[in-house]
Amino acid sequence: MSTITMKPVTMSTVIRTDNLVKKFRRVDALNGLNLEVPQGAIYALVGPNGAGKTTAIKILMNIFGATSGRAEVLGMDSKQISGKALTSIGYVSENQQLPNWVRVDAFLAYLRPFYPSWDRELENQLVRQLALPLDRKLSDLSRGMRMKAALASALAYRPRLIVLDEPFSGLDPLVRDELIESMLERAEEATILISSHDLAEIENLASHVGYLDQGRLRFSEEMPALVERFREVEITFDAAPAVPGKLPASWMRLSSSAAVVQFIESQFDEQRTSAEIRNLLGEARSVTFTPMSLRSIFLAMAKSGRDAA
Amino acid sequence: MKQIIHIFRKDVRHLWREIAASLALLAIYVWSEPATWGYPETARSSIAAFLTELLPISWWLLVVRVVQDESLVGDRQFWVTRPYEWKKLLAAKVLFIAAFVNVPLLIAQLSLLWLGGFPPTLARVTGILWMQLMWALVLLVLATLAAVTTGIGQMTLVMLGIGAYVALFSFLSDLLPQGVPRAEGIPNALVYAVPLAMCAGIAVWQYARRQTATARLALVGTALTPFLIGAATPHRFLLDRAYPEPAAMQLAPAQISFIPMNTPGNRSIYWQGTTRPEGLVVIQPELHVTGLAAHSMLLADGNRVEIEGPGGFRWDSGWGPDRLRLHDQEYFRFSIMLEPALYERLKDVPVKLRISFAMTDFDTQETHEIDVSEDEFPVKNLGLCGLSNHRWDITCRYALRLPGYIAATSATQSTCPGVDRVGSSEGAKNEIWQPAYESGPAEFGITPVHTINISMMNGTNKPLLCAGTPVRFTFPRETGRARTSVEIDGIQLSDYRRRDDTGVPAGTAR
Repeated sequence: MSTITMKPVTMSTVIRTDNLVKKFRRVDALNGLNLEVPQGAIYALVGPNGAGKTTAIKILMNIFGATSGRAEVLGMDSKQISGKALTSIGYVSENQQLPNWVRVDAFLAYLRPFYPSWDRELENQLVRQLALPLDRKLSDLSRGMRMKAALASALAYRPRLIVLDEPFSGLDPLVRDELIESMLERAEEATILISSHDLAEIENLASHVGYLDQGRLRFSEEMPALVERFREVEITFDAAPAVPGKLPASWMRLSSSAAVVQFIESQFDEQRTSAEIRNLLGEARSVTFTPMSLRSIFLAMAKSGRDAA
Repeated sequence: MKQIIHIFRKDVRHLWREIAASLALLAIYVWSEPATWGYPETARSSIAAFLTELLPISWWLLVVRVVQDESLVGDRQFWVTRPYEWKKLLAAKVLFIAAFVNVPLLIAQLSLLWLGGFPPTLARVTGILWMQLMWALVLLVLATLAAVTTGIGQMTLVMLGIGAYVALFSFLSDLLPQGVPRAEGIPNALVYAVPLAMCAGIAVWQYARRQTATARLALVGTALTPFLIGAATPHRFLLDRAYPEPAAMQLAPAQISFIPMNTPGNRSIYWQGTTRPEGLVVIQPELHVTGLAAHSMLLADGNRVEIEGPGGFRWDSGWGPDRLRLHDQEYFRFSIMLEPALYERLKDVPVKLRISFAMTDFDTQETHEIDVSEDEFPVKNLGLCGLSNHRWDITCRYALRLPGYIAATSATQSTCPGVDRVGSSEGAKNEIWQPAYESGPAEFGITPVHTINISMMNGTNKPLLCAGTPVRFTFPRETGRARTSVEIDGIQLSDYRRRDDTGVPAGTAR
């Protein structure tokens, strides 16, 4: 089980959405998204493919507009995010098209004048840390190297908000480590919103997590609290128990075989959960509560959602 | 301003090859274009002709590449999440196009003027600036299209679509009521001005909002505006205003009367029109022009034919364009085109025919007589001229726009050996009329220097123009506009149907 050191999080909100809806012809990408990202958080937005993560991020970045609803970023309506407002926001996306004809050093030099807060020393530090080849064209770089160049260009001006859309996609573990290290160093002075499928990396990084499914936020909470309330429960009986039809809503993916019953408890409290087991299933020979990784929690949520559908 | 220059410099660094190629082509064009001003055709003049087609393509490429370097279509461009200010981005692109298309073209045009023997005067510089404005409008359209397309491939498809649109527009324009162009300056200007203004608005909108679907829809709407303007143009009102009926007690600039068939007398009859449009019947009543003042020329800019038949039948052609030049005491056959069904209905019954003309009166007192020489010779108000190898052509080089002129010479005054000078009748005179270019202070194109061939062929293969042969150039000056008409009662159309099917050349005497 990973240990996360929590930073003090103030009550102010850096990102807020209010009933955000986005429709693309017949597809409802977002169905009333209500999201809050507190200042100083490293907020991971997770969810299955097609959940609406990238759509939500693009609306926040004013890359395109919402069908209805409202989004606020750094105290500003997201529709106003353009020009000078972007000097406070760093954005990196796996599928963003960089100017491939330009060398890395020229790319950084080109962006420098756009940002009054650009820090040359920090830029040099990032170049060293990420081992960027300054004399090569972006088109000649590997995918991982291009992501590092994009990240360096998004961190060098010390943005107040860093938005990362699938930054680890297709990258080897070493590159991921390098990116995470760079981000964590910036975490003291910035709020980070990151969407990713790479739950193992997210688990070591995020302070908050939001689970998006079919355009809606299923839950949004601090990582320790999330990890704390999920348990894999395994109950061994002397004989096969009678499983009642009505079970607590927090019990997910219940399965039984012979004398063993297993389920996922999503609102774990040792005393209360143990009492519920006794009341519903009877006395057991043994009960084990195993903490779950973020990946296991994600899979349980996804499969449970599919079952419900 | 800093951001504008910063983006501009980036574009120069990225597109330096395209810039260099475009400038090189322009330089070669300036070097080769003067070779087209005389005979014979050389490799150099062929290069110029080729570059006349290639240069606009190179500018198109430059515009597309610079606009799409920060593409406005899609949501994956890196720059949309960077602190670009859209006004400065747009300004940087305008600066680039001005710096590498407009300014080099301006320099090239001034150079060609100088090479052509036309030093820059205020009027010529005004003409050059007009050409620059026209090119800026063309580039505006290209930039707008580049702003709503994803790449050169899609842009190419759009250009092909525009070609199809232009063809369709030409076809459909013929179906709309036409009016008389010289009476419709404002609507004619609006046909261009409105779509261009909309293009400018769409381009700004696209840079400000990047709403490509809306911008594309607006462009489709823009393409429809010429049709709407054409359909909404009040042709009759504009014509009545531009060509008024002569006021009471005031004579029309000329009287036109009808000469019934079989009227005796020796007359030279001018045949108006040469070809019969497919499927139409041509009726050609003979008309006579009188009352034209001395040193005057009439130009019929438009005509209208009305027929009244038995039982209250009425047919009206509406006003349509014409280009008929009339002289005093001239007899001419006026061509009326009728659908076969209409002709068949009316051919054998007496009908009332009313033919109206919208006419411009010109004063022709300003003349300039020159004796042709072997070397290049100036013609006042026109340009610099020279004899062709054939000796029946004069090739003139002029700046910016063509003035209207009449060039006339006579076989009796030719200094060429072997030319038949027997008989000094006016019939031996060769006269060529060239209407003026009327759309602004300069003709649209790359070069401000143009050539025109004045052919003075006299029906024989013998050269007519040699050193010393006088040629008189007359420059008609517009003095007024008016309408006049001729009414013909009881005419039987079948008596005036044109019989031959091959067409009769203008100027043929009966």
